[in-house]
Amino acid sequence: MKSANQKYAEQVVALIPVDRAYKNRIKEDIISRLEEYHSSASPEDLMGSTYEVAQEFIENIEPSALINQGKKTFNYTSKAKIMGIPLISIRVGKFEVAKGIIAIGNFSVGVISIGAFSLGIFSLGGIGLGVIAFGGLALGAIGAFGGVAAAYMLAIGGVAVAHNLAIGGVAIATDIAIGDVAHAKLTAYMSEYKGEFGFNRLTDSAQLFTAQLNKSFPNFPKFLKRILDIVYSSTTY
Amino acid sequence: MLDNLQKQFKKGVLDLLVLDLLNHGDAYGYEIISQLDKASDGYYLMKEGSLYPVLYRLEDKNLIQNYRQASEADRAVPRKYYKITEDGIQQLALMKAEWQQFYQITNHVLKG
Repeated sequence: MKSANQKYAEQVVALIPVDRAYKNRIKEDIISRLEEYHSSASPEDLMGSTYEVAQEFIENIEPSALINQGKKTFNYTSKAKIMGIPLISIRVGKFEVAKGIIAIGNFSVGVISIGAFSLGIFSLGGIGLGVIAFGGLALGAIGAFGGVAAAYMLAIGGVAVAHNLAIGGVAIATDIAIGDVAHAKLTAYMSEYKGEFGFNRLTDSAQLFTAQLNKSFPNFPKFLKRILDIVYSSTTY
Repeated sequence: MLDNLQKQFKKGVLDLLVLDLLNHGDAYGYEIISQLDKASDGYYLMKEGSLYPVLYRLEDKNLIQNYRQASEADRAVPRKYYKITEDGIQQLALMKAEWQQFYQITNHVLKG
């Protein structure tokens, strides 16, 4: 189990943009220094906040040892908070996590989360993970929308995978899939389908599909039915 | 502004001071901080984040070396002591000469 000194030292070096060997050097010296105090006080009380200590190091480390020098960064944390969480947090260009109600950054965690790697209620990112997620790779609980999208209820994407409804070039679902290639119990397809019921979107009418939908899934979520209506209303038979 | 100036001045001479201190005897990190503080009546009271990068820099230039020495039984890691190298001694002589020149010329200009 890690000691408080070790944890503190790790938190400090996490804030210093240097390579692993340099980080280990600093970590070792911080732990050693804390032992010199012979005190049961917390490391923060003895040496200061992790941020302050890290800043002191950064100011004195050879510029050539610092990683990402010259790389543009932007940090912003709003003073306004909700339940102790910043309303807006932005961390761009650093290996830091933006955490806020609205979080924007390379790595972001928030209610509305936007980032290369994002996690949130509404998540938008290269890789997005959330209740509703948008992204190159989107993983969502209710909905996922993206190049590759996977969700429990609704997935829309180049490749879409879902439990309830998947719509995409390749759509795979337990219940309903709509796509060029569709795999599900009930499918509407263009080229190929696999499942119990397959309706060709070019030759079979929307009414036939809807009748089967109501028969096979009488309790299918209404908002998903509405989405199916919209998809079908855009199709000419 | 003066704070910043003081910071820059201090930064400029830290390598020299640390090398000189180690030339008088091996020391570990906290000892270096304490001795500089004491010798300067608090003027060179350094934080760890200021000292350790200096030590790393001097070490990387092979002007100082570190070695481990167990001191107290309750320590999780043995103390890391620093000692000046032959290169460090030579460099210190050059730096001292440079400092004297800098000090004299700067004072001369200021008096003028």
